[in-house]
Amino acid sequence: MTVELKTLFEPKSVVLVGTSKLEKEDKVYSNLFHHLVQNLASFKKGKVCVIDLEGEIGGSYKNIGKISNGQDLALVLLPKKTLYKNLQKLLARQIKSLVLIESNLEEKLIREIANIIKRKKMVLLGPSSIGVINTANELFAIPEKMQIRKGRVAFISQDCCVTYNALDLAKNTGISKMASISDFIGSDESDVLNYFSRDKETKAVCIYVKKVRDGRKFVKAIQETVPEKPVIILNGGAEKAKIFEAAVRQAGAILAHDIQDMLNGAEGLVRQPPLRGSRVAVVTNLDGQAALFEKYLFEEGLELARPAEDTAQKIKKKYPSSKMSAFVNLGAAAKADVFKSVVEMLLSDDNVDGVIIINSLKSTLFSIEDLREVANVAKKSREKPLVATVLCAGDNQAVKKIILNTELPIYYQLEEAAHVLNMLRTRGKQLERMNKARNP
Amino acid sequence: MFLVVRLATAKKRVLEIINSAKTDNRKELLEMESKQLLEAWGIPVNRTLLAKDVNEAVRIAREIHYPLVAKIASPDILHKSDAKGVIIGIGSELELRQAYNDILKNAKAYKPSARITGVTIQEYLPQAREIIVGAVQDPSFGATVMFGLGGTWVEVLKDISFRLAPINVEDARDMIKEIKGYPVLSGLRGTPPADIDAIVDLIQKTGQLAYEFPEITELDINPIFVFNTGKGVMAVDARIVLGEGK
Repeated sequence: MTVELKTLFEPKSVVLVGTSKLEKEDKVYSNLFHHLVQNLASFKKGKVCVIDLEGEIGGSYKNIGKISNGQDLALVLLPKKTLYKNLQKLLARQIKSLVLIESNLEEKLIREIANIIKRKKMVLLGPSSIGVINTANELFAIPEKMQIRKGRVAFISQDCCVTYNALDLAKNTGISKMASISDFIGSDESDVLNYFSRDKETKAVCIYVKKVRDGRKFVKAIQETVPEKPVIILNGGAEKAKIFEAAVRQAGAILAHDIQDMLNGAEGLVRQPPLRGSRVAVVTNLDGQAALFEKYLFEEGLELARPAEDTAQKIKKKYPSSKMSAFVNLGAAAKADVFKSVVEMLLSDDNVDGVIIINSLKSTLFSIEDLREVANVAKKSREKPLVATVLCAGDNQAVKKIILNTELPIYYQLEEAAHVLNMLRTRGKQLERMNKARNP
Repeated sequence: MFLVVRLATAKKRVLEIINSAKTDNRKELLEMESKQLLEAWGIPVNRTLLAKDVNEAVRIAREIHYPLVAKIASPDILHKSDAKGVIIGIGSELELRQAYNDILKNAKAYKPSARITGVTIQEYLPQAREIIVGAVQDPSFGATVMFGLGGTWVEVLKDISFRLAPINVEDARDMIKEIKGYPVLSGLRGTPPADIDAIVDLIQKTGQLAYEFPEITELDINPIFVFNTGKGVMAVDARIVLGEGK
């Protein structure tokens, strides 16, 4: 059964239950509670009610009895010893969805809670959940201080540490929504995926799964999502990995190697059209790196494009110092104007399915300003993908700004870019197959 | 209409075989039964007949023709080769009589308590490329089908592909191409290509079988001989394990 999750992501009323004055080993609960209270201060699309059971947070109540019935979303952050008693009071208040953050609970108690939730037809996230995020209405219902930007990628995770890691890695590109779920009870990956598949702000969904509860339900949810938006999965379970991976791939999902790869792929897929063939042209100012890239490309099952004779001649005529070998080397002196026009020529060549720009910001005249200008070509290319790697960029803030403000997916490593191209190709093949199935 | 009738007949026959094993309280089908089940499902198997004594073996041999293969048939011996219960390339009646007795003797030495049903006499096939097709019921995903190159290599190289059943033609084709050993089938250095279409059909049928009968918890068809394009495939050994199903 699929559960409706609207009250979880778009609550009109939120209640937060915790204690701000715990000491010793329970102090961490109070710390997290403070973060949660602060994070929810930015939520303006609904009413937030804080219950501070033993503390004095300004504007808070001390008693669950004070809240009115029928709250949309309740977040509970209490240690085991006080949890159940308060949870019972809370559940009597007819709340519609519940996030359980505590992880240290006995299975028997969890099952009991789950049964109540099921009977009352409520939504449950957790236990061991770190909550939900919806950047569209600025609902940051997580117990950690983090900077989270509005983005187009949604994230579902069965592990809270992986979630924090992913949120940290996505702080530059942002996310649309996030749900931290339990791997055995409450709303599952399929329920959340069904919700994200209909979400307008979400253009791609990333999922970290340790153990899928109902494989066939998950397959169906993926199949229903992928015609509209790509689903990228990172499998955290070693047991029967081959069957899991084959099943989700068959359903149309794309597999990632690690958290960074999952986010890289999602951003690439959101920003650029899929690769309709396997031929990728390389434009560079560095011979050595381009040669190394060829190796990675080959490992990903892709190949270097051989531009048509006509295109090659045009490039050579316009830029006599360029070298046309397996890739187009424009030389260390090439600036944005040269890159832009060559990339455009290659993108309109029938022998080319996609283009990658490999640049170094060291030992060349290519600068951040050039990168910013070149990035604009990516906006125009809606038929074939354009991606870039910027080497020697380090922690360059200007590059991050370009990634944020343009549609060009930029990566810092050649392998990363090669694997994203593979993902773009996989997506291309999947769409072809879906089209064929629709119009045989 | 014809297909529907045929499918209904096949389902009925498969259930008969499964139920007969269940009545005997057996979790694993005999090779002979597994092959009958596969044959009913439209999967080609090499001719396999059960001989309960040596004279019957000789009579069967006249029907199947030499050379032959003889294998022990016992519900208590699952690994027939380990029990030295398989003799291949039997060329004459004399050899067959000898083989029959040897197989019984070896089986008894291997497991004195084993119930012996008899010895199966089987058609001997010319050498061909070998593949394995299997199915398991995954606790989360349900019926899944597996493909790989056959023989002993599969255990070492783990070069196998999986899909959820039932499976369409395209996915079955991808499954075959996905394994690293695919060139062995597509044709290496002048070897003619193997009958890929027949493998696709076999994978689809195996998937469908596991999907329709969740009580088949494990199914291993290994080896399957694959002949050149247009010449088909043939299952030479099969193992079917029964469970509760859903």
